[in-house]
Formats: sequence, C-alpha cells, structure tokens
Amino acid sequence: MLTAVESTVQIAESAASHDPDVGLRAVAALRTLTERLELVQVGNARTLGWSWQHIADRLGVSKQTVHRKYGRRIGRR
Amino acid sequence: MFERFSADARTVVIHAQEHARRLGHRYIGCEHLLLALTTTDTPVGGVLREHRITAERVEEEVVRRVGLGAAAALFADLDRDALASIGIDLDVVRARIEASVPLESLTRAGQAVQCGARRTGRRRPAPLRRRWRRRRHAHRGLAVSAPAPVAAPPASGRYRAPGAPLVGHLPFTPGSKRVLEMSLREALARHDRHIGVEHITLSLLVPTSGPVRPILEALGGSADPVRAAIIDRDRLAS
Repeated sequence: MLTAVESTVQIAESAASHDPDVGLRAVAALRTLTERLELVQVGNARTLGWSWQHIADRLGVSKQTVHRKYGRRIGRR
Repeated sequence: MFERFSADARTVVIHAQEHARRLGHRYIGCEHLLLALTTTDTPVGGVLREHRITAERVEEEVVRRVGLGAAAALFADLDRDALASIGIDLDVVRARIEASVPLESLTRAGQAVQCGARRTGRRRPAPLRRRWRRRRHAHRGLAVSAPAPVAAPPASGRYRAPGAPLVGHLPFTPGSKRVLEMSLREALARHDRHIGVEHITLSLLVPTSGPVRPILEALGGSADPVRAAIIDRDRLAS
C-alpha cells in the first residue's frame, strides 16, 4: 500500500507540474486508488479477524470512522 | 437503438457482452467491442487481423490491463496515464496487491466498489467510477442493453473469470455507448442505410481517450492506419 509520505511527495511533485490538467487528474486518480486500496486492506483485515479498533489504529482514524465507512460495505466476518 | 444495425453488427454487440461476461466484467466497454470485432467473419475482421489485432492478443492485453472477475472493478476505471505522470505504475500496484491479498478479499472489494457505485445518496463525494453510472441514470429513458440474440456461435476465448458467470444484461459504459451512437453517424456519412460492422469499427477507432488506442499501441499498432485501411477496403467493395 502507498505510504502517506510517498503519496504526499508525489502529490507535491505533480502539483508542481506546469499543466494543472495533468496534475489535477493525477491527484484525483491517486485519491481513488488510495480509497480502493483502503477498501481491499480493510476487507482483508476483517476477513483475518482484525477488530475495527486495530484497523482504525493502523489507518490513523477513529474506530467509529472506519466502522461507519466500511461496516455496511464489508459486513460481518 | 439497434433497429438499424445489420445482423453482423448485432452479433458484434452480443459478442461484446459475452466477452465481458466471460471475463467477469460488469460493463460492456470499448475493449469488449474491439474484442468482438476481431473475431467477425467480415472484411473488417480481416483488416484488423492483417494489422495483427487478433482476438488472442487483444484479450491478453485487456486481461493484463483490467484483470479478470469482480476484482477488475478495483482498477479498471482508474486514470492510468495520470497515475503514470506521478510515477505510479498501476500494473505494478495491481500485481503487488494480487500477490499479497487473497483473491476472495479482492473479489469482495471489487463487488463493494460496484455496489458503492450503484448506491445513491452517499455522504462521501462520488468516486470516479460513479460518473458513468450517474450519466446512465440521467438518461434512463434512453438506457440500452445489448440486442436480443441472433443465430450466431457464442463468443469464446482463453480466459474465464473464476466463480459463477454473470447473468442478465450488462450496462454499456458511456464510452462504448457513444461509439455505438457515433456508428450511426459513420453510416450516414457513407450514405449507408444500415449500421454495419465497419461503421462500429470506424467509430471505435475515433476517440482519443478510452481504452482502445492504448490497447492498439500496446499491440504495436495505431488507430489511424487501421481506420484508413477499413475506409479503403470499403471503397473498393462498393
């Protein structure tokens, strides 16, 4: 998975691109990619029996946030 | 919408749907139309094959680019050129994820992406994938699905997505729908009364965005010579 540092560096680089069209599309695509990867990893973690709390810790958000976002989409283990 | 399509052209659209279903994709995109065109027993199919655009190679490339099954939805609609511009190779990301996460989890996530795209009234801003869904609903009155089958052998190929086959009609993407609509214009421009396979192909080779040009380039070809060759062949025939 992309680390936060990497993606920030890359966003910074593309933000420096002279053509805003390329830069903005890159940021949007990167955001979508990050969301997809998050979905995959959260789902996988749940399958492996991780608690919402443990997942939330790794993502750096609260347990409620993760559960609200993925509880219904991923469902029970 | 398909009233003016010739029998061969209808078969192409039906085969495109069968290819999509076989690959486990829940949409009929331009890549599936291209795949269906390569196998037609028409002059156009011959031109494509002369340019080394064969069913096997196209299928290989489609599977390489978007993958098989529901998991394909995870990466299929991402703007890979934009990602490449910031140094992210989507193929590498996909390969790493597929190697490290069990297929079952990938499939479930892919399905969640598609369900999320279909659901309305979400709090979060729409992901990119939703764009064509939403547009499809905006034009619900014009919604089209593949025409009823005509007598033709089913489309086949090397790959088959694991799991149960998809059933029912698959939606067209905005890109493939536009291609079908523009094929009417190609037919009118050539004073043909019916929309034939050649018109679909010509229309498919026009868009500069979308998956067709990158696929052709990956196969070592490009759209414009093929378009020219089809127009030439058409002129000789008539």
